[in-house]
Amino acid sequence: MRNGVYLLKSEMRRLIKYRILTISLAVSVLWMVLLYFLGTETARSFVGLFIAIDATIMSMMMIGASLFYERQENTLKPLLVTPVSVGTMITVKVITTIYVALQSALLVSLFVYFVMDINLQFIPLILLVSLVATVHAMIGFLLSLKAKDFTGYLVAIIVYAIFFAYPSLFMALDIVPTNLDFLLVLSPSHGAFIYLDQIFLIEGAYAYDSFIFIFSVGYLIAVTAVLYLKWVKPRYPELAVRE
Amino acid sequence: MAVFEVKNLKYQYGKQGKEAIRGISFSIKEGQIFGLLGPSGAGKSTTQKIMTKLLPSYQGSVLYQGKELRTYGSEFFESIGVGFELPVHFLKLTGLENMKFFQNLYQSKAAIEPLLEKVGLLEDKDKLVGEYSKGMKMRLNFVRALLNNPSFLFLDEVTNGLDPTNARILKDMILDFKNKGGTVLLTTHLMGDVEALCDQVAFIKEGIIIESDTPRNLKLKYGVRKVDVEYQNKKALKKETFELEGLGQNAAFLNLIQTKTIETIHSGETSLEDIFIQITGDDLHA
Ligand SMILES: Nc1ncnc2c1ncn2[C@@H]1O[C@H](COP(=O)(O)OP(=O)(O)O)[C@@H](O)[C@H]1O
Ligand SMILES: [Mg+2]
Repeated sequence: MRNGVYLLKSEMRRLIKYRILTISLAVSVLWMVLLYFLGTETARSFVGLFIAIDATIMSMMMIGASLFYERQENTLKPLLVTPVSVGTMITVKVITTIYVALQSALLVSLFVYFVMDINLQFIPLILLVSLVATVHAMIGFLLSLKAKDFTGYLVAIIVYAIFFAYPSLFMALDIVPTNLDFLLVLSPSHGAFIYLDQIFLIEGAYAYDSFIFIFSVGYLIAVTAVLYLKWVKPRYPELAVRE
Repeated sequence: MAVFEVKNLKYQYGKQGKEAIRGISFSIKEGQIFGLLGPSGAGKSTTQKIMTKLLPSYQGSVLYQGKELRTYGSEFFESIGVGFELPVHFLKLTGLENMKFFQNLYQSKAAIEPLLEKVGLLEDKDKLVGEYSKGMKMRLNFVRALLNNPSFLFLDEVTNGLDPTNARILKDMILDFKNKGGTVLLTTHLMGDVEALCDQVAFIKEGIIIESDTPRNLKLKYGVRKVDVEYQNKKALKKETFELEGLGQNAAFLNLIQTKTIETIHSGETSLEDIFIQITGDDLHA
């Protein structure tokens, strides 16, 4: 526990040193500028999607960048011969990912709330972004295990996005019919795009106590647990030792 | 008592992968420097990785202090120090920041700056490791292994990329570590390291230990002690070699030194390197 807190602090400090936080901040600013020029009415239907892109794709990028960069520096291996447990190492990386996703989500939503007068529900936003970032951090770990290098990892993310994220994105944009959404509940990214979108709309299609919402939250938690226990934790040392 | 007892250890990388370790056994006694010696690709680093719990899916048994390695938790890592084959640092942190980062994860803490001073890195402690040379990174690797006052030290090709002076400094520190009661596993393809340091060596090739003994016994068993004589013979320089054994009764030798102008006489013994080549038929540096 003491080691976990210390490791988290060091990881955060490195996030700043290695400019990852700066990049995330730049992306948030980009979203804000874009939303501002779209105008309040259009922005209302886009802001949730931008936040969802951050919480899904950006979270996966974060994990991959951190893992591949550290593997290049060979710093994952020495940590494995310290008293720190593998569970702690993974948890620290997940918490950092959640932090970056939340920072970005809150910056963008505070901007639209105060500057553009768009109403939103902050508590569901925070909870959903944290959950979505956690699932995608796990998926990021899984894809890192499969990918040979960072380029391979980026390709894996694109393939993932085509199958799991874009359909939901198009659906949220009403490009594909919404009555397919029962299928998409099986995509871990679906909840991100549909529910985060709803947070900014006054007449949301889902109430947060609806069966489908509770089901998909449960589904995200289950996916996280299964990925963590079955693949990420047992195979993390292998990922770290590989040269 | 043996600190490590390795019995019939086997390891395969991946399900269809190569069998890198094919049934090796050895034991490391407390206070010993044990040298695992062999050419590149022999399985030295793999063996060290298994013994430091980096590769958990091994076959056979590895006992540490009499208990199977698998049953240990984090307490195992409090007691060992690991020197890796390649540099393992955050390049955008300074040398000292790197050391502090790793040291904070342990309960026992050695004084960092005296260690940096010994390996000649104190002046560069506030430089980013990204600006260090390969040799400096390897010395920092060595310091990293000692941060938690370990009682057992793993060193993989520790003098790799070092100039002779720095290699000497590290070897002296290893001996110092041993003299204070520490135990060491040293894996290397460099005979010089072994001759200077090891109490016990094992020759490993293609995942199998071919021979294991003290350097002294190996030399007694395989080596010959000899005398090389260079002399003038009709204006040309000639060389002859005699066995050191029974030299005083060797008529040819005695005749030579009485009748010829001797240029040089050298006595020598077979080096471990010669013995390795003799046993395995392999050149270590091939
Ligand atoms: N991660 C790995 N995956 C597959 N094969 C490996 C891996 N690491 C090492 N090997 C193979 O295992 C054998 C032993 O390697 P290693 O233990 O690194 O040798 P050494 O340290 O003696 O040079 C080599 O044939 C090497 O190619
Ligand atoms: Mg090696």
